[in-house]
Amino acid sequence: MSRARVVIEKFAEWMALVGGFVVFLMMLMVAVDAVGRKVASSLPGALEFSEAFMVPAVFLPLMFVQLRREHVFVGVVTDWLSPRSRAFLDGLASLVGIVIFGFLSWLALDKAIQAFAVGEYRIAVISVPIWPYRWIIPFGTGLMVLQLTLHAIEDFGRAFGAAEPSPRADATPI
Amino acid sequence: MESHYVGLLGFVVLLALIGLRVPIAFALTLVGFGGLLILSGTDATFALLASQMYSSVANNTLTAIPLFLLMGYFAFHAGLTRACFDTARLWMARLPGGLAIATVAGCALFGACAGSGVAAAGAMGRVSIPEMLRYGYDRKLACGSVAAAATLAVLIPPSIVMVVYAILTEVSIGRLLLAGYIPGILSALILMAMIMVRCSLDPSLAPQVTIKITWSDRFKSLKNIWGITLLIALVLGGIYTGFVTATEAAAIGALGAFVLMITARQLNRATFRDSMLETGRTTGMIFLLLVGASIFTGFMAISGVPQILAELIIDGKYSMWTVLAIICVVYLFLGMFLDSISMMLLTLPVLLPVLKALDIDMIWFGIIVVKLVEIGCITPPFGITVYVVKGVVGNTVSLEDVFRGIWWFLAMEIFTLLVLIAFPVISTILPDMMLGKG
Repeated sequence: MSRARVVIEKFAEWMALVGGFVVFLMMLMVAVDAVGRKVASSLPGALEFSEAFMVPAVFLPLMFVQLRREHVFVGVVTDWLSPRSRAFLDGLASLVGIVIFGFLSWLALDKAIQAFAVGEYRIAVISVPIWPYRWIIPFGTGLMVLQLTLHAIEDFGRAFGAAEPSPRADATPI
Repeated sequence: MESHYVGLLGFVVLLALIGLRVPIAFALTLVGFGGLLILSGTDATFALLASQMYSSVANNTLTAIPLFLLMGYFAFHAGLTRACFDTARLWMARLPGGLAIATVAGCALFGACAGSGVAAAGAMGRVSIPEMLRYGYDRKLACGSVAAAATLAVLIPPSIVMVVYAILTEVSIGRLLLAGYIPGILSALILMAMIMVRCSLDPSLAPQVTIKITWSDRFKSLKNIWGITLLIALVLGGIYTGFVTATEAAAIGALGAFVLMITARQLNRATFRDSMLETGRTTGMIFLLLVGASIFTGFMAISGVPQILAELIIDGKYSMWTVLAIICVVYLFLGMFLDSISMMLLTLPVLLPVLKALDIDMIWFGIIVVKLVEIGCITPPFGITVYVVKGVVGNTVSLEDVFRGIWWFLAMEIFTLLVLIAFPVISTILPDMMLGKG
């Protein structure tokens, strides 16, 4: 169990690292394009690629954000509840996430399959393929749903388990 | 059921879910999705959502957000917080409350390299609070100055909150960023003046610093901040001259901060990895909120609730000032519980038609909102930078004392807010001068 846990956590962290690194690449591309446009010529397709890069930058880290329970939530209203009741509410919140993002993930998968079938791309100076980025959306949200499932099990375990649940700190936003 | 009842009900359900610990992004997505299902049917909703997840993210303007985040993390790892404080300390330490004043100046300076104040609060707190305590400064003053001044990063460009506002209200990001400089500097000056007056009247708050500082030390220290000056010039100058867009300025700023990290010999595996991880993490966190908000906003627009609110205000012949006062009170209240971005995502979609109906200058209003959001970062019980400062000082200062230290700063922030409301020209003069009247 704990070994599987370590693997999952490492994987989530790697996905977030890749997401951040995509932003780094985006930085290089946009900067080169901006400066290049003035001194020589712009980078063909830089705008289109930088927009598409937003997709991995946003969706790959979602699992890691969930792993650290850092999707912003309000704790003050329920702080007076017992740790057990709070764990129960957290479990319900995870269920909400599973339902809504599970469904969105399925919608996005459908969209990705369509995009793949027609080979979706954007016409710029060069043609920029869009369809590969479409796959990242169901992948990223799907991973988050997986993590939410693990959290739901953990939270309900805390809410109904024999052991007293350990209190956990509220997530810190940005 | 009429559509605006669905809209109102949706809003109530949203607030209930948020109160019950459902992450705000989940609640926004769920309610937006449910509302759209009821109002526009399954086929239209499914088609909309399938494309919206891509389109609400892959947008050139939005790329400024991760790039500004990256810039902030690079600037942080380049050690710029320390450089800002050290330089400000040499110039200001001899003033009454000089170290606290230097903390404010250092935070303001760092705010010009970072889009959010939370990282600055931690870094500045670790450097300046031990220094202030060593010289016998009042604990509440020491902690309060860091917690309050760190939030200036929200108002001083670059600012993540401003980019989000600009996207929600469709104002020019370049204009809004330029508009932030003078209010940001004004806020810092007011905080500094308050510290100086208080410490002059009650010298026990901040004993005179006895170290000998020569003018040559002071001028030598300026070389520590040449990099920061360069970064500010790149971002401000780039937008001002129209040489680059706000997004490109963000990329160039991030690249500049990366170069500073290299020249400061701070680039190594650990710092690079941390910058990537933090950028990815924060980007995911912010954008899931934005995706949820775009779905929720779609639902609100179809429900007609914002329009009805706008009509009510026009029919009631409420003056702009009454509405503005109500909005301020609502934001101050929300700021006690919500984080900056959620606050705007929940309110602006509903307020937008009202603001349009009243013909309010959206740049000026933007600065007011950003200031309100900034104040929300320090108001109890959920003042994010206060908790960061508490985390830095550990058990040496109690949370109550950190919050008590905030009151004077909070009062000054409210005063600045009123000044900004009373004199719109403070916010609009810079963009009008540099980019022409918009």
